[in-house]
Amino acid sequence: MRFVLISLLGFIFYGCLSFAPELEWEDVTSDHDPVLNVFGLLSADSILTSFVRVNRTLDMEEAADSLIRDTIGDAVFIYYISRFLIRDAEVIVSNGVNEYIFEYNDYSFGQNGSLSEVYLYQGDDLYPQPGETWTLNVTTPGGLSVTGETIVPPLPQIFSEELPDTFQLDQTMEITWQSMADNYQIMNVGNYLGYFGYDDYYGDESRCGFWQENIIKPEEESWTYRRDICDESNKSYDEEWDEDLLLLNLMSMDNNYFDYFIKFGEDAEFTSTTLGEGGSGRSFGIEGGIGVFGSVAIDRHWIPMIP
Amino acid sequence: MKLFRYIPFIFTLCVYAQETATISGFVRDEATGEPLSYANVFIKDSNIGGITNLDGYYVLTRVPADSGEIVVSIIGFAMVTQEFEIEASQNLRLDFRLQQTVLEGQAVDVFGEAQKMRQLVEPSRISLDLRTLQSAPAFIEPDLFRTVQLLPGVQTLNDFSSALYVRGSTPDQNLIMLDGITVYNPYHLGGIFSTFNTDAIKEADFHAGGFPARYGGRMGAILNVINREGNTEEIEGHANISLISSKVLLEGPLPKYKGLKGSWMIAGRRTYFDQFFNALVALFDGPSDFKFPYYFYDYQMKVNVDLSQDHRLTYSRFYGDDILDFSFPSQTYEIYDIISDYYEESKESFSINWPWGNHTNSLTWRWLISPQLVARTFVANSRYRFHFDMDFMYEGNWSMGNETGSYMDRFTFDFYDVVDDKTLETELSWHGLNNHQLMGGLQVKQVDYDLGMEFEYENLDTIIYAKPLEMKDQTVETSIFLQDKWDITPKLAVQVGARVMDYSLHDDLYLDPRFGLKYLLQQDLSLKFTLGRYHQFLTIANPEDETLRIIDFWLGIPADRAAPWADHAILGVEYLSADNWFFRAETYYKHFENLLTLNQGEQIIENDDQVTITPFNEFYDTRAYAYGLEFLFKKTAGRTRGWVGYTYAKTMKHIQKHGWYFPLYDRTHTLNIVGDIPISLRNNVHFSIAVQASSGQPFTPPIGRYHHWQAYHDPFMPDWDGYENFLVGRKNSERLPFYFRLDVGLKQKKSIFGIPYERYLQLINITNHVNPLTYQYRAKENRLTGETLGLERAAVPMFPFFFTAGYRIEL
Repeated sequence: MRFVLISLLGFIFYGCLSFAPELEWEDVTSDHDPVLNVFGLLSADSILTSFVRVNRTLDMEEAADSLIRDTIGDAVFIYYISRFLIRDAEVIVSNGVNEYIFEYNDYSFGQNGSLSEVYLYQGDDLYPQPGETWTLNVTTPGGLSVTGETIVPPLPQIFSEELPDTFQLDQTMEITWQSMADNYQIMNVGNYLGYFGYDDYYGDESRCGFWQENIIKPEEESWTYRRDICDESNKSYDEEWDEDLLLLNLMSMDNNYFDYFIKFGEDAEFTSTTLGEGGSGRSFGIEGGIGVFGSVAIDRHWIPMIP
Repeated sequence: MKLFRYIPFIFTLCVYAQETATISGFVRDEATGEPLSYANVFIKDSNIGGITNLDGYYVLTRVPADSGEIVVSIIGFAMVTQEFEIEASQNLRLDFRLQQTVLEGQAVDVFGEAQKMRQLVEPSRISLDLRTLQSAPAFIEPDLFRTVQLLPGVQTLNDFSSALYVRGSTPDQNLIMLDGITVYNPYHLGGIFSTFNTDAIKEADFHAGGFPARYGGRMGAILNVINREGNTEEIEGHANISLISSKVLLEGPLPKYKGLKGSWMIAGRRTYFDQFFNALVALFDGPSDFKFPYYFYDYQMKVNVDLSQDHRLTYSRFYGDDILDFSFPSQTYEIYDIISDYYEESKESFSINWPWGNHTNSLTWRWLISPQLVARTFVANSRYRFHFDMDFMYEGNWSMGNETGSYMDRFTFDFYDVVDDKTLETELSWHGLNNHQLMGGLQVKQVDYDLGMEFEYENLDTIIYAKPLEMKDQTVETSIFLQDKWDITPKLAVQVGARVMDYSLHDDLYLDPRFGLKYLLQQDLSLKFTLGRYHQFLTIANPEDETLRIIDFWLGIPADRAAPWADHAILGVEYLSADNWFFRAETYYKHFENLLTLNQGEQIIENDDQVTITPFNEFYDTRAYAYGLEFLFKKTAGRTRGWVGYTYAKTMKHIQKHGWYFPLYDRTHTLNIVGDIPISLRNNVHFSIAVQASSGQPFTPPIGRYHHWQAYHDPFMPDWDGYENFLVGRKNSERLPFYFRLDVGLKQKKSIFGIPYERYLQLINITNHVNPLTYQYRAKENRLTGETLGLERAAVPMFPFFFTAGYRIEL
């Protein structure tokens, strides 16, 4: 029987194949002229460093990476380097009075080492102040260039004196801050030992447990924080645990940063089952290319946690 | 209910009746008793005349008290003349039964195309009769929607969809009615077929736009499918066996009982590939638990009872379902480890049960209050539902030595949508004023929407239940309409009307004015112009870029959203030549506001205390416009019939996210040629042809690649990285290649043992032209270096060349 069925299906399949037009693969071409794709961040925070990442777009025919073969002594090193990245650009950030030249660094940057190969300022006199207008100029030897502009947001301020001295695990807590007239802020709260012990945090999407995020609109002044138990069965208590800290991070941002990462950050601009995700290459605070030039400032606080 | 205050006004208009002699009655087919619409009825040697309506009813008013001759004629039937004598103020009832005049081998058009054209003011209207539906080459079997898709102004999404995109409107903006009942999802097999069984259809009236005030609640097009009433003279039937389904139709007169007369019709269809497959498996492999999981069926019935000369009750019913039923029988597993004396017995089962379809019921009461005043009261229920039900279960027992235990895991998932529409409608037609045809009516429509999703996980000590989606709503749409067709002069006629609507979720009262004008430039050459506003109070919440759609998610317009509306402006000329060539040229402009486009990326929102999946109520405010120019040349009668239609169309939509863009169904140029030609009269062989050629549909092209930057905000320190993304051009800014399809069919009528039958062969896409549904992409890689290069693409083709064949038997 199976033979008959398989034969029947095979016959139908063969019939369909015989009649079906052949798939002809063709190269996808475009007349897109590459432009610079820049992410520049100016930080008014003493810990977070200002940086500029300079990429370019590729047209559809161009390879995304290049195979590099290096010989050092007798050793041969083979590796790929990204063709998106531009390493020899001239990057100048200015507040209208002074110009700060950013230089290319190939070491990893960021808490998780995820953003590497950025341009940094090597001096120690870069102090963006709230309300200042800063400009960005990027030019490449290939003739590509962009300009950018950002207005540094006000310094955020958590009213720490109104916070409790300790945070009991199941309590709610009113967090207040200095509201802003025109700028959005983002408040992130979480426990220091979040990933290791006493927590029920399950990733960015679900926002369960201690790790909570609140996007603060202009004029908003307070937020009631509580640990969000999404699933009682996962509410674990580590017997070994006896100490943790609740971290509060309040970041103010300019409109460019808000538009790029918050307003449109979660919204897939284009999705297709056959192509995947895509976008039109939005730009905020950038002229002549795509990307974002934004500025942020941060205030931090921590509270001891008690069971 | 604010509208009820206007009802007395309508009745006041209607109760007035002229004290003049009147002749009225019905015109029917002698052989079957079917009413003949658009038959010409006139008094010889006078200028008194009229035509029959869709019920075959006519009224001649202001007839002088005298004797005379009344003449009834319609193409395809022998003209009837009857003498009469009438007194002043008398109402004379004269019913007629006309005999068909079918010549050997010559089919005739039973519709009075000329009368219809002379009578109707509204443009963009076309009627399709059974012969037209069955003459075009069909995909597997004749289909109403597939035929309508070949008319000018109607666009298709792809070969797999029979949905109608009419002059920039999407299918949810079309009012599809079966005997007056709204049908919400009139498709089988994800849109490949429409639910209407062509054998049961008497006539389908299609309005591409500019429809009068009588119709409301939708802003696109109207397709009113009218089923056969059933043979009043004798029982007869048809059976049709095609590649995928069998259809049966039976009709006949009601048994005579206490003077009641009437007729009935029942038609059914069912796919049988599942039965064929299961029988084949049983034949070769014995009884098997596996059954082919899919089939669809539908049946429709209609019963007419003439309670008296003036009262008729009609019951109409339609049931149609698609059933997908995967039921894998439970499998039992046993393991035993002799060393540890461990024994385990486990059982697992999995099933998916997914029915979707429409059920409708209606009861219509037609009352001839007086010859000039006809009331039609209609109560109907239309229910569309789908219910996806998945069930997985795994359970077992174990023992090791003296220890025993058991376990169980069960997961169920339900996803459902139910639209339950209850309609009460009363309509009055009044012919009392000379040169006026006045209509008014009231409609109350209550629609219950229930869209939901449920999960349940269960083991031996825990049950977790979640209902992340629950959208229940009840809306009531109350509307009244009034319209008048006024023949101002023999050359000039206007049709003025308005529809006032109240929607229970909104505070506003909505007014839809409609205006139509017809000017006869010369005999059978008319100029038509129409303006109108059209509101709609429901929408579907499916992603707009879906190319293949099985089900629709219907929603009432939410309380916080404005009601979508459209304005139609249509200008056209129509000409019917003496040898039955119909020519129509029309240009239109449509403007849409407050449309809702589903935010395709928005899946989850986070409220204060819970996460809710809301994939069906996050919308972009959308506006749109559409304009176009259409030409239709149609041979309406004779041995050779068919049409050539050309459409130039442009539709643009606007949402803030994308700006103005072409929707997926926009095609700039469309040419359709449909023909049905007898090639051998003696052998009853017909050749049919359908050519479809159109501009390619829009798609969004990839034009490059870039890094999209992404932020991670956390309590330690914000962090960022970038990932590779395609840089795409503007939404739908490029076009797929030119679409072309040539279908041909051959049909022959024969008989065996005195039983007439028809055999047919349909060849689809005989040039095997590759019509892309979309493009599929793959990355190119340098095989030597491993470097990632660009992209390649290939068309995902729609229908290749294939053929179908079948038999149709007349019992």
